[in-house]
Amino acid sequence: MFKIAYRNLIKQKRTLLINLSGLSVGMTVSLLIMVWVINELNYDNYHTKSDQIYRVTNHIEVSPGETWVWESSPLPYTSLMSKQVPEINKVTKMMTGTWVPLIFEHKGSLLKEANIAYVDSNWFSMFSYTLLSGSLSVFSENPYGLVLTESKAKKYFGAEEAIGKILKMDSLYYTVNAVVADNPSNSSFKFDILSNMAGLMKNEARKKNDESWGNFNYISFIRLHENSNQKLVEKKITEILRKNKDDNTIRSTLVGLKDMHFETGLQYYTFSHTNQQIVTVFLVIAVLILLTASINYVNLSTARASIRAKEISIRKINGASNKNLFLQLMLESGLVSFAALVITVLLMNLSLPYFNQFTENNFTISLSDWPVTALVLGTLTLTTLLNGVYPAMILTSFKPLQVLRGSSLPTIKDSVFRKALVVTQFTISVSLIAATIIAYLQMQHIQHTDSKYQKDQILKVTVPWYVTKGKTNEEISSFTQTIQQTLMQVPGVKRTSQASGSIIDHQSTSSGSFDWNGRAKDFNPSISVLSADEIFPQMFGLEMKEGRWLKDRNQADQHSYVLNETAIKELGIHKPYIGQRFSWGGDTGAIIGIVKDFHFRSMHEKITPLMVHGQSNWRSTIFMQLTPGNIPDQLSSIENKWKVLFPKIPFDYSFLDQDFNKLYKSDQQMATLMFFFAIITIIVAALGLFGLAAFTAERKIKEIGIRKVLGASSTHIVQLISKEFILLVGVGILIATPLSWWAMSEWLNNYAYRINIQIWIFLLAGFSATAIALLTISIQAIKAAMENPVKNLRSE
Amino acid sequence: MIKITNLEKVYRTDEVETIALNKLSMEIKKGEFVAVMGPSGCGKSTLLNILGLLDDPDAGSFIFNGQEIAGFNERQRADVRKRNIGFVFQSFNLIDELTVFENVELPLIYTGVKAAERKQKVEEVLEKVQIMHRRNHYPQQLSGGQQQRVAVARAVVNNPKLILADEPTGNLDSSNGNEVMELLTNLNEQGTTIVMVTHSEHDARYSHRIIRMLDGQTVTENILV
Repeated sequence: MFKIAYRNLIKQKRTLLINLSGLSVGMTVSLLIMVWVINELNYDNYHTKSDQIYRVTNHIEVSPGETWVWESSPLPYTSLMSKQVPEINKVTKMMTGTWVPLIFEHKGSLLKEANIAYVDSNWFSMFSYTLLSGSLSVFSENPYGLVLTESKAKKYFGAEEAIGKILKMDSLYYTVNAVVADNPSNSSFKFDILSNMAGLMKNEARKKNDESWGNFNYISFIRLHENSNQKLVEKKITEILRKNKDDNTIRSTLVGLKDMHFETGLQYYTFSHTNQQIVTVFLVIAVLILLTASINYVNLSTARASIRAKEISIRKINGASNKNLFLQLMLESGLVSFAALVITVLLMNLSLPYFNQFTENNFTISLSDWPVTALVLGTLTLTTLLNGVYPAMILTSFKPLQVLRGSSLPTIKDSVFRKALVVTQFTISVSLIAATIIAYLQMQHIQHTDSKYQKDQILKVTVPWYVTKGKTNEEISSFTQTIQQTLMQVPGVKRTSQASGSIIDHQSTSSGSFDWNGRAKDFNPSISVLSADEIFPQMFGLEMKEGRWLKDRNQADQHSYVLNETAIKELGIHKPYIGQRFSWGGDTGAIIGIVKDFHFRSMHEKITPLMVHGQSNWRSTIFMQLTPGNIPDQLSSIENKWKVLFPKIPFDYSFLDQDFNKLYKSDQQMATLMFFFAIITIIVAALGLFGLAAFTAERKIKEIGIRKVLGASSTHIVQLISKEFILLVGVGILIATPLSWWAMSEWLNNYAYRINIQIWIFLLAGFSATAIALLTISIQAIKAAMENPVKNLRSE
Repeated sequence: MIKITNLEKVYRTDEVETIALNKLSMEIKKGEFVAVMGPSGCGKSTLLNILGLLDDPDAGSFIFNGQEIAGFNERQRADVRKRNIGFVFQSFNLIDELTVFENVELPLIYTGVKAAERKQKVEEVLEKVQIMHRRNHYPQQLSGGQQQRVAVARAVVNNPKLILADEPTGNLDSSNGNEVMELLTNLNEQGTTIVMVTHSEHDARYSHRIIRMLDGQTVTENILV
């Protein structure tokens, strides 16, 4: 039985090859996607009692209709709630340090660390970590203790023992107390250095500041007792917050630890975070690719089944029972599936490093992980059954004599099924092609829409906030002037400018402390706040609509404001705009200019109101415009100056055009992946079509012979074979068009500036699918048309 | 109408060389009804294929309607074929997916006859072979004799000058076989040249002349009329 199965498979080399390659490529790609999707869907579930852990979210109403949602809370909040709310079993809090990376000094070199968090002593009793060496209780008692992940410890100390080693941060010395295993890829916490929060509290000024109920600097986690009522707890803690903050509109809610990953609506996200829509899209794509590959398999084997009708009939006449035949066919199907499994495992192992690199993950795939095993085995069982059971059912139901007489092959019902499957494949392919084109056009649109400022050859460096800590405004001003003058000495630096943040993605917003003539009492819109110097508009090519920009040496400009066009419109500033009273943070001044709108955030968002002020102590970002030419030389000269100015801070720069592209990195990734998946799908679908066309040509070989004898030309024959398939592809296009139109419109709604979907996109997608299909089929059709008809007409 | 001289055809496989036609010469006049007989493998099917311009001789001359055919390319042969020759096969070779009407219509489509004229011609010829009432049926729904009548109708619908019949009664019982032979005789009486390969002495007697072949050569010729 096994021998015959093997012989049968080898005999149909082409079918076997198509089945194996289609199935294993399809399975590999969709498994890779599924590994990612499963990881996304299982965020933070590895912590003990993760179901009972919540993060406190605060909703602060800044203006009617505008609520800021923060993941951070005031410092004293957690300890009060753990005392007053009996449902709460445990509380812990953390803080991610500062907005700028912290710098560690080790063996004389400076290392910037971005993924660092301060945690309190309860952190490790709420969250699950694998301790590799050292002691977590020693860490909890040491205000200047550190916990490092394994790879971070390796980075600093190599093979040496990390426990007890000293690292210097700012002017303080920290001791490594414990090393834990790296964060799993499904962890929200990507921190590789954890520092004891008690150390922060040693700073009296900081402690005093943070203990105010108005400062939301700490992320609070709570663990409830089993079966506690979440809504009730939310109510109870809201009361505590309202009472202490003396604010009746503020509200606290709880977000389950496992739901944090897909959270939306936050003002700022500290933790690793994904758009659920993307996960859904990829899940769907994975299923579609798998479906396309499985369809090939089913189609080709059911098609083959009718060709094997004669063999089966003769076996039946010679006494084979339906059971024998069924087992024979299942065995063949099982063999192919098994071979596909082996190839899939090989392909997965080959492609995983690239996949990890691209998705910036560290997945390992082993068949001992249950989801992977379940996926692989599930797919194989399904395809084996579909490919074994269905043809077996058709074949074993034949009336053998009828088949031998050459009449009534059970092809009709069976071919309707096959046609539906081909239509499905091409619906999927065309949809993906159209989606890829639309995604590509949207990316182009975003990147080539005029951002209304220039960003070429501009270098950006950030001065850490603590450099100017404790200095008076005058001292800061003269310090920034020194920086400016020093950097301007470098040949090739055309101009420098300072501001409170980057122009590429300026997130700083404020609300509640603005006032102007004619403002409704409860109207407190969010306004983006930027401090910028006199050079700023020249550097970025900003244009004034009215009035003028701020002047550095003009003392009066400390109280002057420049607004963008959107601000004038949305705030409802009265005419004449220039000279209108404008207050902010208790300081009253006047509007002196209106700058034309520019995109200071990603194109995902509409331009929002912006206010520019001249207070120089806000400025920590330095821009340098370089002259085109020898950039590396200029960079090293700037670095030398930097080392003189800031010996303790590493020179860490970026070019603005790079920063700009980073804004769209995930969009780009998505578009690239989409393109890749569309290619895979169309290849797999074309493979299937190739096999089917070959099969049709084979089955119609006699008809083709007759037609040629009767005078049909080769063109006629090619048409005869292609017509049916092209029709199916056409139906696929018709279904795919509205489907992908709708889906992509939904996607485009994520963008404030989006393209309009145009009909030519679908024409192009349909045309390319048809062209690929036609090419595939015609290879077979031409071969069939060229054959000498006499050979196939001889009666046996 | 047909004149072949020293026609040769050799089939080669990897090891064996089979001589199918060995310097065969014959002449068939317009309006003749010729039966070709001989044992299996004597070359009669090869002869029929070459006469039908489905196959190329290796050597020799083949004059059809005063025109040298040997050396024509595939396209030229197809052109001559569809205008002049009709085929009747032992296994009927009807297309299962097409109705009786559509099967008969095929040769007209390939010679570019307009739809209205096609309909008229097909109906005419279906009447002639008395199968008009089955025009919308599929081949599987017909008896063997009926199927062969459809095949004959298809062979003659284009008014070919020559009909090549390869054991036309081979798959039929005697009464159905006789019907088909009557049909061919009628066609011949109306002026169509017929070359028929057969194993049946009975069928051969409908012809004017019997050519007996052996090992790729003619052995004897019996003139019946």
